[in-house]
Amino acid sequence: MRNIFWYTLIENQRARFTFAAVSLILAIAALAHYSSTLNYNAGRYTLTALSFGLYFTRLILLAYALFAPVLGLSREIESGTLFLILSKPTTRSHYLLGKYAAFLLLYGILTVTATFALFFLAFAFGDRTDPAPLRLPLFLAAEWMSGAVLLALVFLLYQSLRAPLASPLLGAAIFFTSYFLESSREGAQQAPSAFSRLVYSLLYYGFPNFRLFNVERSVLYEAPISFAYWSGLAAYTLLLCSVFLGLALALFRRREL
Amino acid sequence: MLEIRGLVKSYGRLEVLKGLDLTVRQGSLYGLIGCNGAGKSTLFKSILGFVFPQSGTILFRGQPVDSLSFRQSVGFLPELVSFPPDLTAEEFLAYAWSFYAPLTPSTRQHIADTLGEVSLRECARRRIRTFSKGMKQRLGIAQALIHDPPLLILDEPFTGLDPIGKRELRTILERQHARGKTILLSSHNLSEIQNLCSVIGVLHMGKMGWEGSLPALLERFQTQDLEEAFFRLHT
Repeated sequence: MRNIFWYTLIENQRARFTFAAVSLILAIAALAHYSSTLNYNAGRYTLTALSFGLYFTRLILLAYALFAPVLGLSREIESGTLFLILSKPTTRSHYLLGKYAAFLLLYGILTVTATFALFFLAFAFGDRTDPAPLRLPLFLAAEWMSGAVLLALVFLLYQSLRAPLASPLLGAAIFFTSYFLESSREGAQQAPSAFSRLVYSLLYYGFPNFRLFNVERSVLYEAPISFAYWSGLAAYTLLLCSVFLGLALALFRRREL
Repeated sequence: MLEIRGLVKSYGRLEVLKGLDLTVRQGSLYGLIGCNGAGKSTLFKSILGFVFPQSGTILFRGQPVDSLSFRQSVGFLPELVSFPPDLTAEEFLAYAWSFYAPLTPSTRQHIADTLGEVSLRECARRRIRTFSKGMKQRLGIAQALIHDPPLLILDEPFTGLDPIGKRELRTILERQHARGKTILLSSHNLSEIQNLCSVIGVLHMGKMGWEGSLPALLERFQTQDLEEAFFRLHT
């Protein structure tokens, strides 16, 4: 599994898609800087740069998590490279987990790059007494966990649908739908019938909730996040990753190539 | 060495292999021929575990092939050979090697020797995306040979090669066979099969239409030409 992980890293480090993602992140940092220096933002450089940067960085990371693994996996499966790899003494589980680990690390590297770029902006051009940049590691941790879940979901969707375009699109739909789950929670509490409350509860607790990983407010406005919340988030990440990857592995083991 | 009995494989209602029997003896150079859709690639995919037959047994040295130890002993070249385009030839062979043993300082020399075996030593550090079809085919042979397996399974190895490439590949295979390797290959190029293989299997409608030595096949159809024998077998 380690060799699959390592060579996937090498391959993707040279791939145009990763290069494009890094370039976009740096471009976003530059745009964040530009937008923060506009007159109407005078005096609020750090807040503007970070809110602009965090928002668009999340979009780039989302696109990377949705498309990069599917493109990588589908290219290997459809071109037949997979036949070469799976004819070696390895298992399908090792192959998929090695790929997952590599994409998770790449996602982490992109997140670190983005965090560092934003920290550099805030430190170099912003108010150095503003503590917001020092809270950027919160973004890093939450974003990495979100990426772990998203990647596992995309692996599962690709193994279920076997469609290189539909899988990331459905993944995106699930991601954005999860931002509207709060209304389901309200429904679970306020719906008149027990059945409706059950449906809302199932929807709320059964749907992967990516909104939980959004700590932008905490980074920008110092809204506190308790240790219990982080522990719960880590457990939630582990649970979803285990379920999604477990199902993806089960499907992949049964898949005819 | 490789024994297949009663292999049945269907895709939906389409029955591709209908109780196929095949025996590849140790040290033989076995040529598998058949029309398009006869089931050659499905047979190879079944051996390698890429598709799951409905019934039948595939044994390698008396053991089922669904173990990792079988994969230690086999080198495989698929029909459509494709590589990670951004790796170099040397890197890909190191990748292939890493499935069998840890990478050590001596591995680099072994990789260089394997690339030399297929006349690609000069291209070791070139990215695979710059390789021609023939070079990729030779790299495919190299990755199958990298761990010196006793059994080689090659699906249409002559496809896309120019006459010089074909001759080079024939030389490589003859050399490997002379070293005692067992080779099972499929091809539509019957003259290559006739020049190379001592045992012929003719796959017809998902079953073995003929299996035996090349002279026996030619004698049965009273011809000196494998293509003619193949044609008569199918009419």
